[in-house]
Amino acid sequence: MRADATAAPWPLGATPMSDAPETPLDDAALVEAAIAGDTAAFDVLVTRHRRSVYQVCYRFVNHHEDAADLTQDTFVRAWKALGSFRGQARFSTWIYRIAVNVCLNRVSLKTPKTDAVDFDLVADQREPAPGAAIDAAERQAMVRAAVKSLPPRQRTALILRTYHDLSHQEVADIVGTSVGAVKANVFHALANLKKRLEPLV
Amino acid sequence: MTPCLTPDEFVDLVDGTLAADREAHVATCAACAATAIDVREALAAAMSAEVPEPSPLFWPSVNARVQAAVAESAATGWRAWLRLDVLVPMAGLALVVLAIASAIDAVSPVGPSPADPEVAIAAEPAEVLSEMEIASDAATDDALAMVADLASALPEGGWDALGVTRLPDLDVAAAALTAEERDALAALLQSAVERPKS
Repeated sequence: MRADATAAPWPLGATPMSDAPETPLDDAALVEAAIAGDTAAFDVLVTRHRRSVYQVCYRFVNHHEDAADLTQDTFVRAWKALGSFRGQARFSTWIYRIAVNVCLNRVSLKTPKTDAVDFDLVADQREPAPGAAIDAAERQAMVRAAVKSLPPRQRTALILRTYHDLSHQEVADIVGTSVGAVKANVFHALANLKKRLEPLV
Repeated sequence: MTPCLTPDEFVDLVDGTLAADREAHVATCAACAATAIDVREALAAAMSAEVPEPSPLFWPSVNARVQAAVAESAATGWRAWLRLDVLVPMAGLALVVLAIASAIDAVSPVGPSPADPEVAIAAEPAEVLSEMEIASDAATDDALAMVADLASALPEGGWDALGVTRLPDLDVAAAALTAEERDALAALLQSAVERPKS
């Protein structure tokens, strides 16, 4: 799965890239059929990749309804652009690229709603040792909100690298930048995350 | 002492791909060691935050929403016009439109006003009226009703003059059109009927 063979896996598990019933057809064959107008083939692709696309979108906006809308937009754009998919990249990489673009467009257009918890409220309730007493769900919500608050480039790099098990090279291909820039963005994302989660981490 | 780690190298460090000599530096540099701990802790925190699992019903709804949106875009896009099941009847419909326009130019406009549907329908030849009755059964279909209205506006003998004995499969054609396309077709037909006579 990983294009960068030298890269070791992240310390914890990552989101599987596919969510689909087994089918003898690989993505490339399904894409070919979809380009010929076979909407059933495209539906299989949607089923295969809907979970990972939704999770990318959710990490960006931290809101279920918005993530659902963005997921739909991603696949509709993919359908319309199928003719431009030449197969140089895997379909999963291509659909991630579309999802990231859809999410970045949304982020630049408006500040979406969020399911995040209120940092101050949580902290006040947990004095004098806020980090120790916060339960796992609240902690996760705070982390998701912190990820969402990162600058777009840092957020993109962190989400794709950390949660979707993509190599730095794959992330670089998706966002159209260099591996070095991706690593730098991941580093700064983690540094910012550390600062924003200081009471917890 | 070797230089401190760059941001790239800290990422390589947590990846486990940092060169051994660079990794050795971290053991001798308090600043890099502290940064490495921060990065690892932040990464662990980030990895611990899972996306809430939506309802199981959500996943099929994604497919349904995408299918609906794809169908809508296909119906409104130019590709919709390239389908044989649309092209063939639409070609027939286009011929009728052209024929109506020619007939209106050719046949004397003297007589009942086409705007008066009762007068117009009464003047319709029986055979054609039968076709129109079929169309009027589909009264809920605005496009068919509109075509029926326009056809009924032909002066007496107009259909015979055109050599038209049977309308093409207008219901098939109209059913394949979106509301927007029907509006556009209605405008075309209307403009053909209302065009000043030469």
